[in-house]
Amino acid sequence: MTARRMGTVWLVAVALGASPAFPAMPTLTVTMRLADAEWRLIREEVFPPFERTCGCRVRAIDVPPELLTQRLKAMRAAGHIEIDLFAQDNMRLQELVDAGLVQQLEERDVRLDAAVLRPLAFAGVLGGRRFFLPFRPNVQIAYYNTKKFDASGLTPPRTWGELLTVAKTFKEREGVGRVLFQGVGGAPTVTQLYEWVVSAGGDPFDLAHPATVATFRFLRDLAAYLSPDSRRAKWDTTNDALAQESAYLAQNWPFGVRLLVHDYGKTDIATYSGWAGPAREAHVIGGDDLGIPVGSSQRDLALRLIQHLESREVQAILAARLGWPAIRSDATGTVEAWLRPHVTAVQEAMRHGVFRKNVSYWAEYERTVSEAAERILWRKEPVDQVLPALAERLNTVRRGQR
Amino acid sequence: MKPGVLIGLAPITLYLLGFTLVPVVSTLWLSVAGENAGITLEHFRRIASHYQFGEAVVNTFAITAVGLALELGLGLAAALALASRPRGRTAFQLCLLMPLGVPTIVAAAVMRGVFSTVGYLNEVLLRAHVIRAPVDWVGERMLAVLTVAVADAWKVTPLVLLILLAGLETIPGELYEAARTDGASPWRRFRAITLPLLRPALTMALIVRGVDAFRIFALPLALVGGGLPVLSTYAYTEYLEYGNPHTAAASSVILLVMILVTVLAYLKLAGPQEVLR
Repeated sequence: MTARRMGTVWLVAVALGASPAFPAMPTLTVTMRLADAEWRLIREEVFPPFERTCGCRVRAIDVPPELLTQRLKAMRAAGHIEIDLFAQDNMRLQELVDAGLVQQLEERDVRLDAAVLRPLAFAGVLGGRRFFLPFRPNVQIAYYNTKKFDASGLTPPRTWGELLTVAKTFKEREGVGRVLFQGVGGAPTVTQLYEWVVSAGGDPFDLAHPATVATFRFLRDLAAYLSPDSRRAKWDTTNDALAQESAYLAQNWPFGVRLLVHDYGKTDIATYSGWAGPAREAHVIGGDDLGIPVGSSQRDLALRLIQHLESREVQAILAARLGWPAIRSDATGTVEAWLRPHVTAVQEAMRHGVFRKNVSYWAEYERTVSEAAERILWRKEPVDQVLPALAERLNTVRRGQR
Repeated sequence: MKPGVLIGLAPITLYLLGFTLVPVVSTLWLSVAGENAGITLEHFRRIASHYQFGEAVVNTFAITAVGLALELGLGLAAALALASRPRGRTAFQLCLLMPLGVPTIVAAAVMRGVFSTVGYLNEVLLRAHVIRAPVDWVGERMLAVLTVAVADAWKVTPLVLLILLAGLETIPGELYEAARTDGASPWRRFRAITLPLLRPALTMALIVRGVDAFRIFALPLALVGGGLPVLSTYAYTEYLEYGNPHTAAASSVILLVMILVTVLAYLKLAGPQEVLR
């Protein structure tokens, strides 16, 4: 009887993590925003080796980038930071720094070896201080339906002029537009517009710049031939439009490749880097950077996980299995055969990559550019009436932030 | 009050406090919270001057009005048909009630399959040579309002049907017998007996569905995207896309006021006894 009681007490003690013989395993909470297939791979092949090495558990949570800042603020207000490491959209880094939510990283903490691509390594330095480390770069590529293009005797467009011709041809042949622009507003629209403006030689933050104005004029002309789905198109629904063949040409992040070609078997879908504007070909380098929240109790463990995620082995797995561009020059995993042409498209797009300027008024910028797109593309308001007022509004915001 | 009753009421009281009252008060506070714990109407001024806000208010009213008209019309027709106890009533009832069990986001996906440019509706009309090119059913604003209202009606008309059918079952059959003996036509019987005695059920259906229709969210977002803002999607965009909880709260408060005013106005017009009866 006594033995049973003792056993019960021991079990309770173990359950409460009080047993000195079995100390509680440290848990590292990590947040990211990934697609299902990406989460599967990360959970099954990336975290387990780290957990075995460090003797810890990684708790991974999906947090949308637009919610991370608010969530960290709420945790800070509650006096309990539950996140130890986050991967955040590289356009939303400044707001974390401005709000004092992310730890500064000392050079002794940062063991970036020479294989890490330099431009990516420096993207985490804001105001001369390092807060972030690179996890993955990302770039949008153009998806097109080879069967539909062949049937119409068209080739994938390489310039704005060719893009307009393709859009017109499909509209005339089918009575409905088949070229998709992500015109729903918010991040998808603004990201796409950013690289279009740069391709035209404009300044995305200056809505009165002649090349920026020219970009909106071109888009207004193109809008008449766009797929109706453009108005509600964002990153996920673009995949639907391509899968259901309501659109035959669209730009999107590479995560759609696995979904469309591998999972849905849409082998008619091919990819390439995209088209050039009047000035150049340009593609926004998106992706995620890693940061440690102020107040995290697991800083050392978080730094070790960062090193693991940036290691050649992990980057090679991500490149080979997901087609992610690697942050390292030596992470050349054996890419699966079906994925190779798409990886080539990504690499080509990366060659024309541009980093967006990290500004603290990004949310306001996104709102203003979304309004410009909505009014010019869909409400057909004149470019000359819409842009000057919005340019002034953006300037006011910018002056207020300085 | 006895201690047992207090203990019994505690869970529901805590639930209402924690999940209803506190969030509502927090939202009210967020909508007027200024710098340094001050109070401001700046968030309301800001959304009032935004180009999409007025549209969101009008769209919310329009979808509610069109949707309610459709749901009450179709629900009443179906309830009357089922109340006459036709053969196969149970099977009909099951089929009619099925959309009620479909989650809203699934209903939105189904409706996208119907109304997209490569959807069933366009395919049927193309094959029947009614149209020569696919129609963008959500391209124009009024068409989009109608499409969203139809999609909403598909999902929630069964609820109206259930309420009205229950109302119809309470009307004594003797009244119809007497009217028939007096030679009243079916239309006369409907106007003189069915409609007046169905008023409590109609009022209940109108309030239940009206409140819900004002809060419509997933269908306009999934079917039309940013092209058809309603108050709930406006609040969502302000919060999620632009990270502004204050303007999101301000638009939510306006939605709450709109619902309260409409329900109170209707109760004033119809008389509260209709609901309490």
